[in-house]
Amino acid sequence: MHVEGDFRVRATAGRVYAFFLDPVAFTDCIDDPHEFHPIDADHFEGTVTTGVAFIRGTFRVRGSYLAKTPTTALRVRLQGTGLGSGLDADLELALTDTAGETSLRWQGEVRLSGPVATLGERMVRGTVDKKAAALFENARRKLETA
Amino acid sequence: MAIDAAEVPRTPGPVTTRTIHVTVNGVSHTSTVQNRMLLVSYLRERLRLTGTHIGCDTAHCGACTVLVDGIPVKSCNLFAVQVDGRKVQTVEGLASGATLHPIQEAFHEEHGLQCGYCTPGMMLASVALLAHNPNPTEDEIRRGISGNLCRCTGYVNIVRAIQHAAQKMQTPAKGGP
Amino acid sequence: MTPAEALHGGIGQSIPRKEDARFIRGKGNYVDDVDLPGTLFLDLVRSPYAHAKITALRKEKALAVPGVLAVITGADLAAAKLAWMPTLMSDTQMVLPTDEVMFQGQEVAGVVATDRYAAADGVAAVEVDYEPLPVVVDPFRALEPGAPVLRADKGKKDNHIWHWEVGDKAATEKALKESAVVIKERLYIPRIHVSSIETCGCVAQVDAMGKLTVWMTTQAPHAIRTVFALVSGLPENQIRIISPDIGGGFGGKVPVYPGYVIAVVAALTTGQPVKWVEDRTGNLTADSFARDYHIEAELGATKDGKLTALRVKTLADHGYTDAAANPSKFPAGLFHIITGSYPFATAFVEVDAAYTNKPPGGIAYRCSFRVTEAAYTIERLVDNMAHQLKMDPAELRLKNFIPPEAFPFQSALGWTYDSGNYGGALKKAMEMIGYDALRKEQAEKRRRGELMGIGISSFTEIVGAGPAKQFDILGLKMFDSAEVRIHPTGKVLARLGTKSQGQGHETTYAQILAEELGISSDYITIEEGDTDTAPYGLGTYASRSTPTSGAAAAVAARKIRQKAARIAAHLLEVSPDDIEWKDHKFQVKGVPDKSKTMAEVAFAAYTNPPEGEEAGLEAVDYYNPPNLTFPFGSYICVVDIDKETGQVKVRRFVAVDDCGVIINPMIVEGQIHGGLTMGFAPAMMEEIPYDAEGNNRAGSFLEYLLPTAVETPKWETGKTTTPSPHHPFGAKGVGESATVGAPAAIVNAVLDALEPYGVTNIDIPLSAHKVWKVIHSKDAA
Repeated sequence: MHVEGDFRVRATAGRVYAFFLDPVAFTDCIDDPHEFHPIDADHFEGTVTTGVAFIRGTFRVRGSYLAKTPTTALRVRLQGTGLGSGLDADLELALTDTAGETSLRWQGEVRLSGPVATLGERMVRGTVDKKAAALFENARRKLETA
Repeated sequence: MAIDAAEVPRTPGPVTTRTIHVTVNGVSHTSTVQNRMLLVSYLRERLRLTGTHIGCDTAHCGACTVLVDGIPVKSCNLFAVQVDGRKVQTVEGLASGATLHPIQEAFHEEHGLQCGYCTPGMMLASVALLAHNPNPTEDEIRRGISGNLCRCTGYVNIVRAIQHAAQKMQTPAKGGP
Repeated sequence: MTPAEALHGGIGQSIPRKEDARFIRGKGNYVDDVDLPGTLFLDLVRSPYAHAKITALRKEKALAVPGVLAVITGADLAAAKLAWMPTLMSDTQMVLPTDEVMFQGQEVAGVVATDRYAAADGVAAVEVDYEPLPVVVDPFRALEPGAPVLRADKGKKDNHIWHWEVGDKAATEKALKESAVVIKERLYIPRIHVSSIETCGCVAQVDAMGKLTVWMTTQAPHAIRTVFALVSGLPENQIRIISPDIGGGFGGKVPVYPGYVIAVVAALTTGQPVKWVEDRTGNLTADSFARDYHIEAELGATKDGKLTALRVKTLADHGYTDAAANPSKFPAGLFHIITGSYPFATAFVEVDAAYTNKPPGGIAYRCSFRVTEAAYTIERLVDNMAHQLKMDPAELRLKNFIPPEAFPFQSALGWTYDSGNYGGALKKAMEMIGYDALRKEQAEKRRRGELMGIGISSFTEIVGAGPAKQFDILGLKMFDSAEVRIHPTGKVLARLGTKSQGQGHETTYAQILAEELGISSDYITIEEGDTDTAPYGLGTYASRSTPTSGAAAAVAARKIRQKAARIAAHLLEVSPDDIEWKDHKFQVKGVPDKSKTMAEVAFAAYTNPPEGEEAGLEAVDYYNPPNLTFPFGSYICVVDIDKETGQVKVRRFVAVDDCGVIINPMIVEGQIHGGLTMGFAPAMMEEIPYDAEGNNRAGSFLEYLLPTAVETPKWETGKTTTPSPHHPFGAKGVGESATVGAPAAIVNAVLDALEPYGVTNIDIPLSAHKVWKVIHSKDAA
């Protein structure tokens, strides 16, 4: 499943980049109950309790930064299991700084397996879109108020 | 009033509990339940009313249908705490003593059941339908039970049974022949 | 009133069912209702991946969950040599994996806890690391060179399981070459699931004497006991399988599923009773599927419409192991009933089976071993041939049917049909539905551009397995049994080797015995499903109960009558030779008022047996049927299609069935209603599709659509009666006929409606979208 979106934030690309390079900071923007911690500079792990339709439970997620181009691009891989399901996502973030305001474009492929996948894209997409929107909105608020 | 023997949740730990007061088939119960306990689990495992069945866990099959204040609900998608202060009727509450409810007689006489698994939910959905619409057409009956799946009967005899029950239930109201 | 008329509940009477008394009160006793003190609950961790290597499995966090007592893994089972078990087709299946998972939803570990909520918490806390492997979804690609080999553990070099063929290949080839008209069609009969409303489950208990008792949703308790004994090494007398009330079976409760075995292991290790009841997603993603046949069929005919030959090539997708529930000698079941109701001079059928990353199975879905696949194929092809020849499909059938006088009939693929009158059933259905008027209406509507179609299916079933010389399951011969005991006061207890799942055995077996013993069915108690008490039998599936155990009940009753006649002679002070069984009692020949009832004889059997006669009055029969029975029928379906939406509406559906002598017409009609609905379901709604990653796309009733009362057509039924010549009272079996016969009638009707668009097939289920695409693409072109 292809996912993509963009948002603008009143902060420099340097700040936005640093924010997303800190797994604790950006995972804190997840609306669902969660706990994440870094393993080393390129890896982090944790849990998030969430659900799609009638399937609810805790996902165990491991993240790794695949590529880091300071202030302009990040590639993150997320691999998780939970709710009897599997999640594999490769996400790319592209940052453009225009006069202290940053536009961030994100896109990637999300591969689901297990009961969550059986629900079909029409159910899952709605949930993914909603949660992604919430995450970036929370991030924007934090970056702009901090 | 019946006091529930299993007041203490079997699972200790951080699971939260609450005390509820429910009237089930005319008997009031005070029970402490986990907040997450489903109504169907409460009825089956706590009160041992095993006539309410579980078929799908997702509110599609209707095997777990019970009446809450006369309204049919799928008890696999309701928490027990949500019926605090309410009246619940299950299949065990249909007959009064040895006298069967007309819907029970009709399901038997019209061969409206085979394996019997969907039957309690199907009968309760029918009771609610007839309370709302005492003289339904065939299409109204079919729509009225469309939240309840039956894999054995092909519905023909269930429809006949509900029609038969409707007749039975109207006869006394008219003062008899 | 004569005594014969006074007999309540004999053969042919529509008496209401005995078993209803508990079901309508909510007092049935299904597996999940079994409540033993101290019962623990088993829940299963399932694989999210269709094919993956398990790189780590950590129990610790699950064991820390309050209420969780044990986590059982493949490694634990391997230590006891129980990680693998045999399937009914002598393949091997994992109970729990040690290295690799082979399908999405596969059981990965078992969590045992004090209640089902704690068990679910434990399941969520088990940590499993997977390394995804290449997934094989399409059976055709599975057989291509270079495809990942799924069963290297068996020493396999490819994914081909077996090849099976029957018939005369050369003669069929020649006959097709010489036929004036040959049509060819590819039909896919997709994976479907029986989805009984009760899922599968069990309660396993080991008592202080070391005896294992398992209450289990099984259609074949005796066979399960023997399999458990052979696999576990426990002595068979220390195993008791009890099939309590079953909430629908339809073939899905024949196999042994890993959950049952894990529950038994959990009971043995914890020393407490353990209950496992699967949820619907587990049921839909891991339990045996049905169908999944990719069929290529060719049918030949002369110009004037005489059918000449049939050739069928099929690829069967069996998932990662062949766990079909077929008789051992028939890997494709009874698929070779595919010549149907027609006297082909020659035919040839071949089936190849492939492994894929899907759940195992190949069970029946309310049909006798692949008979639906066969009936669907021939009845679809015959309709297509009629369209090709511009003949009426009823006329083509009537021209070709095996004539009534040709029975017993030897089919081109080796079956001996016992009896039939195919033309009689079709003509009756045509009359009931008003066939000629419908064809006129259709012609008018077609002129106006409206889409109306009429479809026929004149199927022949094959049920009642079976003669022991041909049929066995893992070597166990497919006889079945009855043990009948008459108490001193003339009341009866009978136990049988089959197991009802809603078919009404407690009523119909009592009716057979009432007829044979002259005792009201009210006084006959039927018991089944407890291996400690019932005689050995192979169970209920494939419409075999009436042909086998029903026959055994009649034969056992007749054995009793032989002894009872001697006692009656003693009471009437005549020679046994002077006694006859007439009007349900023993009479002195020619002196009807000198008679004794069975109750009087029974009392004497315990209080006053004749000199030299053993006391008591009972008999056992293990009935080995001399042949299968061949029920048949003709179904006609009328559909209207909305051109704008592609929505198919079944306007009428008439089903004329012939299942021989009927025991209880009310119950038979109910069986047909249900069977028709389970024929409609796969034709119009049900399918389990898999995506390229091997994800099951119908893992709940949100996506797997069972017909409700709204979609289900208003069935109309009729019957003809052609007794089976070899069954003790002429019955044939009926539970599955309608499921076998209905899909072709529906699809034929839809294709008949779509004839102006020139399509010869749409694969089931016929969703509005598929139908709309046909209308839309041709209109546009």
